[in-house]
Amino acid sequence: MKAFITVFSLLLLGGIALAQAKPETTISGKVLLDDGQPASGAHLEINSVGLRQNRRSESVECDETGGFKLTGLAPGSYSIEVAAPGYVTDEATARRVYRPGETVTIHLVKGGVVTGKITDSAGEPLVNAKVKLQRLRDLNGNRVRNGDTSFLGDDFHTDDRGIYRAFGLLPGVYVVGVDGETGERWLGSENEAPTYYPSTTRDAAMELTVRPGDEHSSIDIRFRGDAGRAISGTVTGTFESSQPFNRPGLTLLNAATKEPVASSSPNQNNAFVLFGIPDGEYELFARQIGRREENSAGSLPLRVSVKGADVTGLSLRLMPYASISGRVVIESAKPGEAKCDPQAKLSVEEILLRHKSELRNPRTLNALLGDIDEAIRPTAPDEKGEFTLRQLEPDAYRIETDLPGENWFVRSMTLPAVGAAKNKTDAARSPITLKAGEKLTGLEITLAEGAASLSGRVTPKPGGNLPSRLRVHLIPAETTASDDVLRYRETVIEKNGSFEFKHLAPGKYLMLARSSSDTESNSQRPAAFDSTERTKLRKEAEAANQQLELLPCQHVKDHVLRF
Amino acid sequence: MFKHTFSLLALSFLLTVQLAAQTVQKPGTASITGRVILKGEPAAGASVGLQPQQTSAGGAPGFPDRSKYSRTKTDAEGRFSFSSLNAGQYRIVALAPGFVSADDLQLAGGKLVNLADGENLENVELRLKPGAVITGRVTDPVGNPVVEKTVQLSKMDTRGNFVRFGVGYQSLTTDDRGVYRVHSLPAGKYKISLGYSQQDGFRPEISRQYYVKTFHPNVIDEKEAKIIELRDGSEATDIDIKIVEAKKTYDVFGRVIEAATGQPVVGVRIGQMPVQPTGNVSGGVMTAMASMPTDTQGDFHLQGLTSGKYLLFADSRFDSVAADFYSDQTPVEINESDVVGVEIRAHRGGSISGVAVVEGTNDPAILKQLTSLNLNLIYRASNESSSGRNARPAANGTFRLRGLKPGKADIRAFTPAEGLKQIRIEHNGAPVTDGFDIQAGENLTNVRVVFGYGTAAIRGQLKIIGGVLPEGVQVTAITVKLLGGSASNFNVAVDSRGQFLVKNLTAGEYEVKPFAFSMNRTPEIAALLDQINKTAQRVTVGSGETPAEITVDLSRKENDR
Repeated sequence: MKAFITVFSLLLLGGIALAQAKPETTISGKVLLDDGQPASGAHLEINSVGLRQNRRSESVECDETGGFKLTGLAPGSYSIEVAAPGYVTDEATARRVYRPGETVTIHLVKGGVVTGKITDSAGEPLVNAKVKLQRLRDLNGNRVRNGDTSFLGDDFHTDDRGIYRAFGLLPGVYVVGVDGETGERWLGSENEAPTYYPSTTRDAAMELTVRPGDEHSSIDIRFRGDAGRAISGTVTGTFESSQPFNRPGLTLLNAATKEPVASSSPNQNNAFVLFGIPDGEYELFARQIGRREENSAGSLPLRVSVKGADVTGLSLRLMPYASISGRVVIESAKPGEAKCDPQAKLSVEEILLRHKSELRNPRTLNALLGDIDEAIRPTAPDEKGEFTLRQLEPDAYRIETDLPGENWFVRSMTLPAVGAAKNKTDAARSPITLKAGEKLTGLEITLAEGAASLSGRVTPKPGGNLPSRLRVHLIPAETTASDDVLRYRETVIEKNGSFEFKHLAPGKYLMLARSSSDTESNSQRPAAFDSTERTKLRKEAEAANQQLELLPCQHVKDHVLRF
Repeated sequence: MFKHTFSLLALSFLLTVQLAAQTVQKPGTASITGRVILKGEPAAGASVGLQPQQTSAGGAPGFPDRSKYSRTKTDAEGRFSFSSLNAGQYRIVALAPGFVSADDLQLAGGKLVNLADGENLENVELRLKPGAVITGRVTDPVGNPVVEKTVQLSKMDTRGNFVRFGVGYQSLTTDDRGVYRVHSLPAGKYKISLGYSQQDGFRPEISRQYYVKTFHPNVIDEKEAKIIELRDGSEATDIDIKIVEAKKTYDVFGRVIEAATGQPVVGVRIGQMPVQPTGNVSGGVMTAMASMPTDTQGDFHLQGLTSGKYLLFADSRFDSVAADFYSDQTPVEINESDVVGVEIRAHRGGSISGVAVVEGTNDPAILKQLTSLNLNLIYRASNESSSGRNARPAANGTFRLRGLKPGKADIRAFTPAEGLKQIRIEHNGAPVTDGFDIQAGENLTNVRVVFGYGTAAIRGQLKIIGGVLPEGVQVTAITVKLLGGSASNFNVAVDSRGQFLVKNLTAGEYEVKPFAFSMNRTPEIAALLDQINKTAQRVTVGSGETPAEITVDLSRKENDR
């Protein structure tokens, strides 16, 4: 009997140990309209995030309950775009990344409408005029990326009465402009600058806040036909390509708002010209993305001032972009260490890596567009865990990770030892510096299992209030970890005082709630990157004396932190 | 006198800046002057655009140089002028949105002229009249607005047939309220519809359902559709369309395998050709780019197909992964449900490799043109258009066409009217006179595609006598072919005066023929087009410019009846 039971138990254990969950391949869920009604028939499109080529782009339609199922997905991260006529995805969905195995609910909001009449300086309707709706910020005030290779912002054309109707607009803050271009679109641009609502130049343009379902009518513009200037010059360092999409491109940004103003491509003699540019301050840059992205190059931005005259003879030099290659390594579990979820298996392709510039070099695109979160395209490792972050300007960088699930945390980030040094370089503690065109290799990002997570709320002193901007910091309590930057975490609290941390290394932590100035955004440089700041944080945290120990795989909710 | 004033912008002559940064061209000596007439009266302050049509020799073909476009405005007498022009081909167009050409349908609008050095072209008249408007609202079977979908127009021609009518440069899509507005229409009788019918060919979008093509007000049968009559400048409102039915689409699942080995073919896309109930393959090939390539098992999954008959095939033209394969055309019928288990059999194709060379010049700028040419292998059989392959010569001129199906095919490079011309093909040193007869799996090597860059030209005149071309029929181009070898033919545009100029020719015997075109292909018109397109003229080109004259006698056709 005993023997039988033992064998049976062994078999049972063996069975559990051997049962490896197959990788998930489905993302399913529901799409709802803003009134809670199902968005039946809504069109979903899913795209791979972080891959060099858009390997996957598939679409699916929602059924009558608003439900959908995307199957056959390879391991990786995906973004979902939903279109239902007259509706748009809300901000949260637009930024989110989804992984196979997740069930999601997507909320659509009603697109906004802006309509009005465009007339010429004599008051006659301007027919077939291009009206551009340039989205500057989302409703939370965050700047949004509008692409840097074309004059984006949705554009709509006026009809025979001079009336335009822009619909399906994402909620946000806009300026509305009418281009000098009238008549057939394939004609070359005139030397006229655009006019903005309410019939002014760009610096006096009125911002329009479009909320879900808003309809703004009578957004009329009288086109002024202000003279624009031409900006011209040459681009050097381009490489030969017969493919149109590999040709070099130039973009002109408004220096103050960073909006794209004009774009062009140099001709076969590498000369370029941009027409219709109003007086003002601009940043001009060129870039050429090769077919395999290995030979991609870009110029640093060039400041251009337009003051009543054409600007000629500019020269932009394309310099090869730098890159960082490396590998994600998964630390094998030590014997005796329990795994959080024996069934779960990490698909390394589901990790996303982002480079964050330290903004040391003010003359880079990083510095110009750095506060736009979406500006940085993430990279995913391949199935072997190998990755390359590309198109990097000469600058100093830190690497951010976006990990799937709840069970993994970053143990270390290292680069090969430099010179006579014995130990590998800690790539998390000091930023990674790249020269122009440098192809750095050997970055090793080690992940371990057993991550903890922590969420809760900050409560004010009895009778007191919480300041408007509050940051919660986690500081490793162990003195040996005082320079382990990966153990330091910080986040801005939500309006209701709540906060959340995921992918934490188990261990002892000190917690600190500190008010931050109003100008800081959630994507500002973490204090822990600086060793003096780290020491300051420790001192304040030790004084506040709110300690917490997190065990492997422990998920603490509703933790209360006193301010 | 009633004068129409266009006060869009300040009344001044506006010309784009010719930049010093670009290759400097000597100012020309030709000029164009004329008038803009609106409703019979001269139009002051109207914008007129001048668009050079061809790039200069050595320039990249196919990239119009828009910085050379210029605009001007008419004076108080409606007159405009462009001066200091170089010889070349130009399009002159009145830029007056909301207005339409009062002359009979000019394809692409405006007047096309070939200017010679020092020529002063005068009295170019651009006649305009106000365009008309059709507007209305489209709703689905339950009454909800149909948002962001496109309406289609058809216009009655002189024989009473309704032919698809295209409007340029405006939106034909419904807005968030389901409202559409089409403007700048010439007077006439119209029908308007929205939705899809199998006769249209492939659908522009893939979705789980589609609207069955419905005509205003709410009928599927085109003969019952209400006719909308427009006069100059009139506005037809409340032209609503109530979609009658939404239908489902279906999926097709299958596999592509290599017939010889049974192994899956990975990474190839699936092309679809709809087959009409009559058995004709029509509507062209559904863009194979719309489908995902086959996975590691060779499996594919096509979505969004309407009920009907199709021919599916493995289309390796766009991907390099499966480029050695071609496949059989596999018939599939969708009858109101998904289809599974389709097997497409692929075969390893033959190949043709060789080198493209230029004779007659060593100019590196001209030799560079080779790498932007596409060498096309075109099968003679009419239902094998998707079996064709193309290749671009590498920097050293070598090329390889692969994945070739057995059959008779020709190699043709599509060359622009200016620049290199394909004059000859050789295989193993001997001239190829009648294309290639490709055998299964055969690899042909040592092929030379010879291009010439000559300095001779044909300056020609097309004359149409014995009648007038019917409405909608136009001779838009002249097809030129070098005889006696396996040269490719190419087209040059013919301008509004019937003049054409063929440049960069090498010496030889050429054939020039008119290329007539019509949007409306009734059997009578098709016969007429055929007759015109057969009026060939032989021209012997030596050096310098050789004149040529093509005469099309329309009266002859009547006598032959």
